[in-house]
Amino acid sequence: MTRQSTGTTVELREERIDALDIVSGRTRYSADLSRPDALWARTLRSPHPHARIVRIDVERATGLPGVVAVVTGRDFPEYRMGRAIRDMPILARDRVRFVGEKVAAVVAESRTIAERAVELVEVQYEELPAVFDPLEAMRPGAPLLHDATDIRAWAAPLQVVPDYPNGVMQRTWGATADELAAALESSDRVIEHVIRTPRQHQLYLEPHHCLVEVDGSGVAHVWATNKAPFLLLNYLEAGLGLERGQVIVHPLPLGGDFGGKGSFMDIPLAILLARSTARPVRMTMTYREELGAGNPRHAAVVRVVSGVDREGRIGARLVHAIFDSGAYAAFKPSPDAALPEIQGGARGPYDIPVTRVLADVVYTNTVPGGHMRNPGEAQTAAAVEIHMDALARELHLDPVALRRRHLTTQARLGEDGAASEARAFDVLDAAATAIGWGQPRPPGVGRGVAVVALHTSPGVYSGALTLHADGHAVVRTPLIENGAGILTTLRALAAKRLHVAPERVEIEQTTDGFTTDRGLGGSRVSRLESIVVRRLVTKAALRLREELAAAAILSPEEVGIEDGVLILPTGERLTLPEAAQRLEATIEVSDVYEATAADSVTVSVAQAAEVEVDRETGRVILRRLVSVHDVGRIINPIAFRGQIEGALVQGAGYALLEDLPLEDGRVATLNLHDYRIPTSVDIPTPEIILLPLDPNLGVTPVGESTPGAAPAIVNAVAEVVSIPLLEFPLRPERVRAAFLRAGEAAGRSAGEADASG
Amino acid sequence: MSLDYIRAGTTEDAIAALIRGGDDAKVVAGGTALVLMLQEGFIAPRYLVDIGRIAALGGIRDVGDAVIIGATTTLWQVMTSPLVGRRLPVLVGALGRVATVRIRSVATLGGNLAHGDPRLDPAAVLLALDASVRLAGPDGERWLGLEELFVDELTTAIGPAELVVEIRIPYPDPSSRLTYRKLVGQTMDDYGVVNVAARLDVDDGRCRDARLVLGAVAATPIRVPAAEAVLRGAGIGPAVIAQAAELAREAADPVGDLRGSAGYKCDMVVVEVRRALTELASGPGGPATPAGRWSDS
Ligand SMILES: Cc1cc2nc3c(=O)[nH]c(=O)nc-3n(C[C@H](O)[C@H](O)[C@H](O)COP(=O)(O)OP(=O)(O)OC[C@H]3O[C@@H](n4cnc5c(N)ncnc54)[C@H](O)[C@@H]3O)c2cc1C
Repeated sequence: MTRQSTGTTVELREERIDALDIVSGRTRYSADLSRPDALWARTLRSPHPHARIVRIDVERATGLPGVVAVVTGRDFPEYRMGRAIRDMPILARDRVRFVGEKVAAVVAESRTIAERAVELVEVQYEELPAVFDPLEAMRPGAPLLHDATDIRAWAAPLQVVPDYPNGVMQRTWGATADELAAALESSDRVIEHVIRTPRQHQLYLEPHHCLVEVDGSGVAHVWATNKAPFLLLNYLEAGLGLERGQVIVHPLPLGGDFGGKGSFMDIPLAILLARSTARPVRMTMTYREELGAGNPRHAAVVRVVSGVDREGRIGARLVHAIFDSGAYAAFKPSPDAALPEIQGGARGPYDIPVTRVLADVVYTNTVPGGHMRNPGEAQTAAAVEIHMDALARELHLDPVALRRRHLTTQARLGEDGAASEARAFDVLDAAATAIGWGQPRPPGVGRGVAVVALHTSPGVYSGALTLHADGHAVVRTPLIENGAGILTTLRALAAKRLHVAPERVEIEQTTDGFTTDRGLGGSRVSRLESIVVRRLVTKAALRLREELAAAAILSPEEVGIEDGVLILPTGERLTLPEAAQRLEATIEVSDVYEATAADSVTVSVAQAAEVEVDRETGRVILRRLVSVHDVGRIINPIAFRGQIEGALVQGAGYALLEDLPLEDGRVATLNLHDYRIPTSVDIPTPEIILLPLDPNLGVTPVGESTPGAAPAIVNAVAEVVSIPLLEFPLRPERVRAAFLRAGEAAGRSAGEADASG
Repeated sequence: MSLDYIRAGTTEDAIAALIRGGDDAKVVAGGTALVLMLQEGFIAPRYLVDIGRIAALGGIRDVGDAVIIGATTTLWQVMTSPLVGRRLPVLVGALGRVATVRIRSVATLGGNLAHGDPRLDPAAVLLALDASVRLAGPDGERWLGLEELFVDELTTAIGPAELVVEIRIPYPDPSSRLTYRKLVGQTMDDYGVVNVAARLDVDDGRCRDARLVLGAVAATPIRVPAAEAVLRGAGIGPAVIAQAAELAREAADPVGDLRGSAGYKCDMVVVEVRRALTELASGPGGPATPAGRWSDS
C-alpha cells in the first residue's frame, strides 16, 4: 500500500544574520587577522610515503636572511597529538609515514621567505616499503606503520586494537559470528558484494589557517579555522601537557567546514613556534597541502552479505566495513577510534532478523582521514544501498519492492519520548513516485533510489541568556558559525521562546565564562540548542518571577508561567523582556546541558536520481535528483534548504567525480583543475519533498540528511549498464569499462545459450 | 625577488620592454594562464609586460573575406560579437565551451593561442578555420599560420620579444559545414578529454575539402592529414567516416591522466570524430549551425 505524502515547499523567510557582513567583505576570518610583529611559518613535507629520516640539515635554511628559526621534530619533546588517539607527532622524528607528513618548519619574517627557506632544508631519507591498500595492510608480512605496543599504548578508552598487522581498531555490533553463520547456513542463497568507496575532500573554500600569540603570562591565544573551541582545548592540553587556562581559543567564523574543521592541523606546531620565537606565528595551508595532507573522508572497502530465502526475504545480513585510516588515527574523535554511524549506515532503515556489523580501521601509508559529512555512514549506507539494488537484480526483484519488504515498521521516538509511526515507507514511496519509478525509460536513461535512517548523536552544550533592562536579549554561545547558519538558527530559537522579533535578540559568540561545549557536528546542534534555549528561557522565567514577586510583594506562586510568559494575578501577561524592562533589571542565566541518547531522534530519508549515460563515452549526465525528508520542525527555512541542496551536490560529487587517487602513494589531484566538484551546470535543480511536518519529532537532522544521494546515482547508472557498479566515483572511463564488461557478459551468456540450444 | 609590472601604452613600448627584460620578461594579457604558471612555479619572470591597455590590440573588424580580431579581445567579446555570430557560429560555440563565464570574461584570444596548451578549445577550432596570426617584434611583423604557430606543448613559434597583434580568420566557404565537439569527462567547465574540430566543404554530396583537427590528444592541436585525404573527394558515408576515425586514432598520441588513460582517450578520438563527421554528413550543417554548447551530451 502506498501512503500518500504531500510535497511541501519551503518558503524563504529569515535572512542570515551574517549575510551582509559576509558579502560585503566585513566578516573577518582567521586568515584576515594578524598581530603586530607576526611571523610566518611554513613546513617541509615528506615526498615519500614511508621512509626513515637519516639526516636533516637546516644550515642553509637558517642562513637565509629573514629566517627566524628552523625546527625539526628533534627540537621538541616527543609530543603526540590526537583527538581520541594521540598517535601523530607534531613534526616527524625518525620516520615519515605518508607523502605530505610534516618534517621541518621554518619561521620567517614573511611568507615568501619562509617558503624559500623550506626549500633549503635538506633531508636525507631511506625509503621503506609502503602499503596503500587497507586489505593488503592487514595481511601478514605487510609493512608495519607503527609498533603494535605503541598502538595499544595510544589506544582511546573504548578502542579495541586487533591483532592483525596495522590494525587500529575492530568493533562489532549486533549478532555474533555464530548466529550469523547459522542464519546464513539456513538461507536459500547467500549473495555478497564488495563495494569500494573513495577518499573525498571537504573542499571548503577556506583552507586551514591559524594565528597564535603567546602573551606575557605565557597564555597561548589561538585564532584558527576550527569549529569546536572546547574540543580543541582538550586536544591541545592533552597533547602538549598544558593546564586549563594556558590556551585561549578565540571563536571565529569559518569559510566552510563539512566536518573537516574539527582537527587541530597546524595549531600545536604554531603554539610551539610562537613560544620558541616569542612572537606571534601565522600558518596557512595552501590548497595543494589541503588536497594532499588535509583530513579527507576515509576510503573504505565494504563487504555486504545477504542470506535470502526462497521468497526473497533477507534473513541474515553481514556488513563488514574496512576503513583506510591513513598513516595516523589522530583525526578520529570517537573514543572507540571508529567513525560515528557505521552501525546506523550499515543497518539502514531495515528490519533484518540477524544482522551483524563489523568495522575495522587500518593504518596505511596514505593521508590520515578525518571527518566529513556523514562520517562512517556515507561509506556503509552507500555500500548497503548499492548492494540492495544489485541483490534485487540478481533475484529478479524490483529494487523498491525488495526494500519495502524489509523496511522497519518500528515507531520513532520523538521529543520528550513521544512516539510516532515510522515513515520509512513514506519517504521511499514518495521518492520512487517522484522519480517516475516503473515508468518507461528513454534509451540510456536510468533511475535509482536509496533509503537511509538518520540518527542524531548526543553531546554537551552550553549557553547563556541575558535580558537587559532596556528590553533586549543577548544569547551568548561558544558555537562557531561554519557557514550553515547556526547563529541565525539560534537567534530564531531564542526569539520564538521569548516572543520577540528576531532583531531584538543579539547573539554573542564567546568562550568566556564557558567551560565545555561539544561544538558543531553530527547534525545534532540545532536540535540540542533548541533544548538549551528552552532551558535558558525557563531559568530566566523562574528568576524573573521571583524578582517580580518580590517587587510586588507577592509570593512567587502567585505569578504564573505559561510558555515563557509571566502571568500576574491581575491577568496581565508579560514576556520575559517586558518583565526585565518593568523591573529595570538585567538578569543573566546560563546552562550546560548534557544531552543523552533520549534526546536523539531517528528519521528516514530517501533520495532518487535519474541519469543519462552515454554508452560509448561512459559520461553520466545527472538529469534529476529527488530528496524526500521526514521532518519535525523547521527553524530557519533558508538554512534548512541550503543544507539539503549542498549535501545533495556533495553526494553527486562523491558518486561521479570526487576522489584523491594515489600515484606511488602521492595524491594525484593536487589542484582544483584536477580535483573537480560539480558546478551549477552539472547539477539539476534538486527536487526536495517534505513529508507533512511531524512536530512530535522536534528538530530533526538536516545537515547530513542525504547520504542516499550517492548510492541512488550509482544505482541509476547501474540500471543502464545492467551490471552492478561496485566502485565509485563513476568517472567516464570506469563507466565505459563497465559497459564493455556488461557486453562481454551478455555475449558470453548468449554464447552459452547458443551452445546449450 | 621583485616583480616589475609594466603597463605598456603601445605595441612598440611593449616590444621595447620585452627586449629590455630579455628572458626575465613575460607578456601578460588576461593573466588567467600566466598567474597559474606563476603560482605553480613553472615560470619566475622579473618583468611582467601588461598589454591589456594597448588600444591597437583590441577590436573586431570585417575585412571582406575574413574577420580580424585584436589579440587582447576577450573570449567573451568575441563570442558576443554580432559579426562573429553571423559569420563564424562554430567559433561562438567553441568559445562557449571554455571554462566558465568568469574565465571567458578575462581571458583573451591572443593569450589563448600564445599559451600553446594543446587542450585549448579556440586553438583547435581556429586551426580548422585556417586562421593565422600577425606577430610584431624587434624585426618587424610577420604572419604565421596556426600550424606553424604551435610547436610543442606550451611552446609556440612566437619569438622572445614578439607579440601576437591580431588573429585573422577567413570566412568559410558557403559550402563548408563545421562543427566543434568537446568531450568533457568530469564537469562542464573542465578541459576536454578529446576536442574535435571538423570542416567539410561539400558539393553535391561530395566532399571537396576537409579539415580534421584534434585537441588535447597530442603536444599541440593537430590536423589529421591522412583522414582529410580520405575524406577529400569522397561521398561521406559510414565507411569513410569509420576510416577517417581510425586514422585519427593513429594520429593521436595522448598522455594518460586523471581525465582518462591514453587508451581511453584514443577510443574517444574514434567516437568523437565519428560523431563529428556523422553530424556534418547528415545535417544541413552549414556554417550557420553553431556547435551546441552542450554538444557532448
Ligand atoms: C580555471 C581555468 C579553466 C580553463 N578552462 C579552459 C577551457 O576549458 N578551455 C580552454 O580553451 N581554455 C581554458 N582555460 C585557459 C584559458 O582559456 C587561457 O588561460 C586563456 O585563454 C589565456 O588568455 P589570457 O589572456 O588570460 O592569457 P595570459 O594568462 O595573460 O597569457 C598566457 C600566455 O600567453 C602569453 N601571451 C598572452 N598574450 C600574448 C600576446 N598577445 N602575444 C604574445 N604572448 C602572449 C603570456 O606571456 C603567457 O605565456 C582555462 C583557464 C583557467 C584559469
